[in-house]
Amino acid sequence: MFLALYLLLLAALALLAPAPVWDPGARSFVLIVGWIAVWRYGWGGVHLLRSLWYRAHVFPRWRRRILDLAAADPEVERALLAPEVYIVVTSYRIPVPTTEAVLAAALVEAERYRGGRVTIVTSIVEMADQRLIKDLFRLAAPPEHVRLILVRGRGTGKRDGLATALRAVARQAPAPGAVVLVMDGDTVLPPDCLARILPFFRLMPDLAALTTDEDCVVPHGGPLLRAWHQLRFTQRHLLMSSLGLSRRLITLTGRMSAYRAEIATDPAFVALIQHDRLDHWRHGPIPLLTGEDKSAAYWLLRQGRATLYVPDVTVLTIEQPPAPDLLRASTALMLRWFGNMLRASGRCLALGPARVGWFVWWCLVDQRISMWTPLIGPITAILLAFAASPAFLYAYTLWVMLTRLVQSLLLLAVRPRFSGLYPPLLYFTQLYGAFLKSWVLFRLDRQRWTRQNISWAPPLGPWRAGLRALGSSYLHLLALAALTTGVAFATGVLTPPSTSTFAAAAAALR
Amino acid sequence: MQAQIVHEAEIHRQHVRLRIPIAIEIDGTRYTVDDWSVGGFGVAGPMASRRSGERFPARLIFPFEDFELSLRLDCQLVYVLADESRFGGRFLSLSQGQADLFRYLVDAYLSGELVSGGDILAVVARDNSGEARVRRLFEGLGQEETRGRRVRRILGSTLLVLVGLGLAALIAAGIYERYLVVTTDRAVIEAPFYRLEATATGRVEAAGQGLLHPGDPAARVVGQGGTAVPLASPCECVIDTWLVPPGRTVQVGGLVATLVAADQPLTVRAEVPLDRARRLRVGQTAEVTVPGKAEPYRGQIERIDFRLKSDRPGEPVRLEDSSRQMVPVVIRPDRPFDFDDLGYAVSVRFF
Repeated sequence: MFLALYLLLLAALALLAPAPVWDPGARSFVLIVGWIAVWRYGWGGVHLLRSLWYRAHVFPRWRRRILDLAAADPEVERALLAPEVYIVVTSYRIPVPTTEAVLAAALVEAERYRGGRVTIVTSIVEMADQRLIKDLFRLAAPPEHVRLILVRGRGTGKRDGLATALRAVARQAPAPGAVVLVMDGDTVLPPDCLARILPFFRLMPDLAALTTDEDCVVPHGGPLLRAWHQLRFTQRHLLMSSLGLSRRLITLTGRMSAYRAEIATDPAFVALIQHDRLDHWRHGPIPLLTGEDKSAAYWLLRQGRATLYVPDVTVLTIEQPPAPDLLRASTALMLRWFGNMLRASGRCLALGPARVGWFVWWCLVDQRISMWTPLIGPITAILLAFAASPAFLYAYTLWVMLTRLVQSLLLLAVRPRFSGLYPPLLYFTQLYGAFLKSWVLFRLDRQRWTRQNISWAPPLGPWRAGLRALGSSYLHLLALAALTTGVAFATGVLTPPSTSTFAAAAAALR
Repeated sequence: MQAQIVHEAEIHRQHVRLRIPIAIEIDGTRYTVDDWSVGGFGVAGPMASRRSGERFPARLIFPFEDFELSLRLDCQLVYVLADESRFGGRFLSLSQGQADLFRYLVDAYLSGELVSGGDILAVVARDNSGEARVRRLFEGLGQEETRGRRVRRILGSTLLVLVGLGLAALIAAGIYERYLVVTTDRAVIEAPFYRLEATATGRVEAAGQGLLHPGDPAARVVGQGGTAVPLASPCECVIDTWLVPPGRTVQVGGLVATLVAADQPLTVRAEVPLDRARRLRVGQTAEVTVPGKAEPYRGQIERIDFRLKSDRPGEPVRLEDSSRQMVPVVIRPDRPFDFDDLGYAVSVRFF
């Protein structure tokens, strides 16, 4: 229904368009919007092609190899599994039904696992969680090879909780070849998840960690929020598949990733997870509250370790949006995601293309560029609408509706699911997301735990805090002004000043 | 504002009095404790070995189903009732580990849980102070700034302020250039010119070269009888263009050549749309860029012809198209153009 409405609106706008909308006279408009489109959609096309190639050709070859080996001999099938598995679940004030579903799925996976001992390590804060988890564990009455470790932390954030849990794993002295699954307390493991992902650690000796596809349910969200989450996960699947081809991932999703135990229990790794910080020239040292998945990916990139994306295993996340409406929920979530991304990507970029790989390195560069490019189109249209004709806004609206429809349809190649809400949500995410990214870029010191709804700002006096906030706003405004000025010059809304203008101005000043 | 809310349940239970049957061993005697908290304990019974205010070591015993757990603690006897029916004490100098374990066990008791075989409990050090955890976590960060960092921050900020000022200047200049400066590429260098007409019919012959003074023969028309009729130069001129090249025949009254005045400076004739030309004034400064010349020429507007012209001769001017009409503007340069530049297409900016 949403799609039909969207198509009707697009058709109506196209048919009722005033004549100037089709006037190709606005050369600068066509050039700028067209050039950005060629560049951005070209890059998107590269990701799509790489993703298709990875999912249709490269990964299935690896999967076939595992299946062939396993089919040949039951002993080999067992040998392909890790001798010991730790499932680390971090949970903080997750609704009880979610915890039940998560733990039940983890316990089922652990029970079915035939490779060896499975230890579920729950990193929790509340006594209520401890009681609930113990009850669930007792009710499940798992076999002896399944154990439960309860780790109660201070409630000072996921990083502390995860680090504490990883140290608890380290104290168990994992066997060589053991694997540690790190997952959130709202992630449900699919059936046979362990059996399908763990053989890659045997098949690929250089593999340090892997992550899988994700899908979501949003129990308490409206259709808009549901579609938005699904769209985000579809886009993630596309991007991760593309990166998977390079075997270097720029994030090891906190929702569920698996690491070799020697990495997950490496004191340096755990220390980085717990105490990661960014040294910023203006803000000083910034402790990173969230984004431990980015820290993990950085640690692995720095070590030059291979990582893998498993596209045919999909974990299910039970989303609890921080607000009931799209705007507030997406704002909170995107601020956290993009903040994590921007706080982490600088140092990954600094590792250089030789260490990270050219494609992945350019993806990191592109993350920095892509926060500005979605703003160019609307700025161009608005400037020309004021300086020349409002028809530019009309033409731009048509362009956006058409291109986002095509983009959304192309996502069918990633996941066979479509919603008529995708095109407008896609544009919303691109435009509003770009603005939020630029907002965060100049306020990297502002961080927020979404679930706890606790924000952190540097402990400064009111005067210094005010000055710093003013500086952040100034830089943000400066960057947006620079972008707008560039577009204004490119569109002819402003004319680049000649040297004689400056000379005349200097003469007037004298 | 710093977050002040701490969801640490243990803090609120810190002094809750608990009636869970634990035991305390003092001086080798085991007493059943019927009233205790993390701060202290109370026992129903006599106390003979110690007096109120006295400090002594004790062993707190938590009896479980299959085993006992004991904590060695320092205590201080707070009171002994006169009838020796009851005494109480407080715990002194609990170590962090003891306090953590104490609280954990309190929680375990309260929740009805007993630690039994098969479960592994990793009790981490819980910091149960009443401060906001966020502030505690990042205490000290951002407070101290080294000299080098401060220099870097100040230099960077200064640079960005300068960049901001530069951008503001660029925007102002761009607005000025776009909306206040009138420019046109429809301009040409020209000079006053004269037409040389044939006074007879015949073959054209060149008569003079280079600079011609008034009265000098510029050309001749040789008639059929061989009679040569001179065509005199009307000015101090040079021949610009032969309209009838020498050797060709011209009819009487026909144009033979154009002459350019050499005694008057070259000027620029520019065409500017009427709406923009309205901003121009006679005497206003203009800058003329001649192709191939590094330095532009400066000059002033000598004349602006605001008269509207009709598209078709004889018809009235259409006023609705007036804004699209091009207005001729003549610019006289401050220094003369090279004569070779005559006829060059130039660009003009009016300030």
